[in-house]
Amino acid sequence: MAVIWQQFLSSFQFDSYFPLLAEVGVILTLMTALAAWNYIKENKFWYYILTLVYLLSTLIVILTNDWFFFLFAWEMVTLATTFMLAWSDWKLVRQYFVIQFSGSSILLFGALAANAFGYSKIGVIDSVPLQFILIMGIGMKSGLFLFHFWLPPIHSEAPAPVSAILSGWVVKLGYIFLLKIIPVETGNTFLFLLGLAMIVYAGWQALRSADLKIMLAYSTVSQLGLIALAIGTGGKYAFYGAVLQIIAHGFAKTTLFISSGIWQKEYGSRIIYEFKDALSRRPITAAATILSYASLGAVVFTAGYNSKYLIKSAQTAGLLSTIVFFLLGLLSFLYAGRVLYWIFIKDQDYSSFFEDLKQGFNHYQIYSHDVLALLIGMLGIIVVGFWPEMPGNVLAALVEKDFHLLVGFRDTTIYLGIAAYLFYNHSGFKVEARGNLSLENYLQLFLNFFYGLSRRSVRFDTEKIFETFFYNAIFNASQRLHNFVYQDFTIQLLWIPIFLTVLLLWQQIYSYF
Amino acid sequence: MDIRILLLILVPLGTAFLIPFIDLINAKLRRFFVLLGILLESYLIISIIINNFQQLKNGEFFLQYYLGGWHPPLGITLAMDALSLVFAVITALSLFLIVIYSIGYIGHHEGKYYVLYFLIAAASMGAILTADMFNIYVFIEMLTITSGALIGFKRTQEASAAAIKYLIYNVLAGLLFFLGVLIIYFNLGTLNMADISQNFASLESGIQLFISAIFLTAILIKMGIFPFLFWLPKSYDTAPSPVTAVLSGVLSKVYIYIFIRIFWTVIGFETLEALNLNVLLLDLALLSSFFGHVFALQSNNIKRLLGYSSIGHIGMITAVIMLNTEAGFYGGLLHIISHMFMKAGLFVACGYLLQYTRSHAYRDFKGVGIRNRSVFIAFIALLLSMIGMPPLLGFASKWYVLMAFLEARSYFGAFIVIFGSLTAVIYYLRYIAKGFEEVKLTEDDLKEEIYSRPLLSVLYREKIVSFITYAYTAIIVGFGLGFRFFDLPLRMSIESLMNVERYIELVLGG
Repeated sequence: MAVIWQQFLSSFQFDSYFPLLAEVGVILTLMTALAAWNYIKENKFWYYILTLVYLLSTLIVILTNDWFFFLFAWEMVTLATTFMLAWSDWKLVRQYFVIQFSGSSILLFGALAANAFGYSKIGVIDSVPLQFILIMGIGMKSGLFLFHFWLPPIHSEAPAPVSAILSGWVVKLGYIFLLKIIPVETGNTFLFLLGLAMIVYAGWQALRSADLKIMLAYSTVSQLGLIALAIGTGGKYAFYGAVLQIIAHGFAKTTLFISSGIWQKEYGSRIIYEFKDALSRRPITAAATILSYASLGAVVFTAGYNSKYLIKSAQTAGLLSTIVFFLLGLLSFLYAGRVLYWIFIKDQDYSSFFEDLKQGFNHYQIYSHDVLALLIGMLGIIVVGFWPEMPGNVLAALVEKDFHLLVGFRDTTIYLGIAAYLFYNHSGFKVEARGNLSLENYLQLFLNFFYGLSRRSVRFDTEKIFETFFYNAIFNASQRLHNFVYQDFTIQLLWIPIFLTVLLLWQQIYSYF
Repeated sequence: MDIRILLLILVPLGTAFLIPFIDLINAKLRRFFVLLGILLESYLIISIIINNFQQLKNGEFFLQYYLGGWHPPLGITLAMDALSLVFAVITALSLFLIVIYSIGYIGHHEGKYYVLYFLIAAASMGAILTADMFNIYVFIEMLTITSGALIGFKRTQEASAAAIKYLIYNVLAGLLFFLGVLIIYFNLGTLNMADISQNFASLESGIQLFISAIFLTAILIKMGIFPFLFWLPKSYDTAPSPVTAVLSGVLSKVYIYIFIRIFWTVIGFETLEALNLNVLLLDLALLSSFFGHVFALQSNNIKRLLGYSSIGHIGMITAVIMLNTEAGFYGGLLHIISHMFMKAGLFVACGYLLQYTRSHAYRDFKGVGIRNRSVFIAFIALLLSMIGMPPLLGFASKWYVLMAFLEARSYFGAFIVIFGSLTAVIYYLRYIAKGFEEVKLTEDDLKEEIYSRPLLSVLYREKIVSFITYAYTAIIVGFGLGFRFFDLPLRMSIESLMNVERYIELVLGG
């Protein structure tokens, strides 16, 4: 035990930007813990125990360089967050557990392969196939493209503080791991392409959602794509951009999910079309929402602008990359701006704004814990926005970096013009709210497609999908094998002479191979 | 000469024969007597460890006892090296826990039960300690007959059928083993293991092959590797829970020990390699593991399911030992220890959980978790350990097994380990979900409940039974965090296992 403890202590590494990331993780967890104080009503003690376990294990995941402790701590993160979902629905716990378990088995395989190839500590890995396996391994946990399918349903159905944890920090752990293993000089082209696909696809999905939390979940995938793209690009500034993006998105998304919990309690709904008089009802929450969305949309002087500028500047200069990144920026600005447009501008009546504000007409008595959490989030966004080198010059290389704020200002103005034109002419891209978004529905869609191929329409009881399809297929297949092997007793006994004969003739049989 | 290794066999044997006389005096005294016997056994083991601790640390631990003062190769020798010490310790610990469990669980025919139980204890200790081929055969037969009687202990139709099937298989295996011993004796003129080992290479290769084949068949039948796995699930299902825990936790491990003893010490692994049998055995064991896990998927009976999963794990252990590398032995022995505690704990927990259900079937498992919440949580922890969740002992041992397979570049083996974990998730989750399902009793259910069968086992002392379940869970969790504790004993036993010449020298020369 003493030996393992010594190994554990000596495996910590406090170099480059990982301690900074660990600190941000602690602050974000603190925010969610504040927000949860009034949100979680039952079994509060256990919730905070789980939060503590989660916090300690994330620190280990970020700081250790030993494969075993890394995997162990990540499993603990998974377990803690899995059980946090129980405050919403046990069904989610089951789904999330199965998904994370399959993800961690791929990761385990990758870690073992890396170990077998001689990388005994977590560090830069030069072999491209090994990088590929490890990227696949974190793919399921961190929602890379095509493995992200579980993320919107689960992040949108979780309780608001848990969504904030999951979306704000847990999915980032995979990218922090990638920061350690992908070489700075070369990057990884596959990761770059995955990131591009994630930004475009999830951005498009976020643009056409009516439900606030689903929109937030999709925008998470889109912003994670930016991180993946930055790490895939390679180069010093791209990696700094990825770090800043992790921090900026962490603050913005945590604040947004906490405020989404408040909006949900205020209006009793998550559909953004129904939010009226938001500014006068909940001024501080509204300010936090506006600032965070501005950060997501990369408005100048926010955290998001700095990170996106760094990532943009790390690309090879040229007309194509300028146009592509201009369009990507426009997409994120559009989906962020659209929500603000619906909540604060479209069909709003500001004629009696000050009277309403004084009267304090609202449905939900906000608590000081919630306000404090939101203020911390806003402070984080502003600090990272104005001092990208971080307090205390932690990222010293960024002190000299010119962020071209004028260009950013120009771009923001152009985006604003385009967005205003589009929203005004297309009535804010109003779409129907999606029906119940859940993994079961995905399975149902898949099965309908599958059975549709044979032109038979079969209706399934989705509650029993696991029982009917998944299990019965396995059950019947294995039962066939069982019945084939288990003949009656005489034949079972016949195996003894057969086996003896095979053993005695084994030399001859072996020589045939 | 150390009398304590003889006493390790004699104490349980004496307990078994004295129990009927104790019954004549007072039946209630029996429980204390049983406890006394097992405590004495534990005391012997602990005193052996403490007195020889320095030698253990230096890696020179070796004890032996000549029966009747006859030195080898003439007389029977009992020998204890580090490997047998490790097996003796874990066997004694398991037997100790299960005896306490039986005091709470077995409510009828207690006298017969304890006689048979202590005969098993004596025979397994004897099989671990003896250094004589014929003696090992005697102890194997003793194990077969007593465990056969215990499998049929419930005296229902299925139990008797299973016991008869078990006996047919295992008596055939014993016959083959006896044939092997005879051939060895006629060719070499000796029965001492060390002596045989010294002279085995001088035999003709045809005779070598025949002896190896016969022993292999006999021991594979006993262990339940693929072509001979048919007797295993049925007998695990029908035996009372503590007996199943002994069958799966102790007996299969004793047979693995005999397997290691015969094929490394007596016959020698080089012989197997020269006959190319190691490749066949490795793949056969892995195939058996695969079959075990696949059959477990289709099982609608929780105890049978655990039996199939035992087949899977024992196949895996055999395969990883067949690699004949240091890492392989390390993983294999660690998994033997962890599987011993996990499976015994699971069967023990099953005995508690299935006390009021109509049968062991899947549909009757409904609501079990709601009725006995805390034991069910312990049950789930043990299941998670079987799957290989990180903080538990099962993870550590599976990790080493996996590393051993990867180190030996045996990718089929590595696949089987991961496949086993994944299928285990599927088949265990199903039962966990069923355990938490609400029971809605209808009129028909009640009627069936009342008229189908009388309640066979209503627990005698419920607290002891649940306590032993928690004890197993605590072992799994505690050693899961501190699995490095096994580092020294495992390294010790691997050293004594790999160093056959030293064993021969000590037995013959000492």
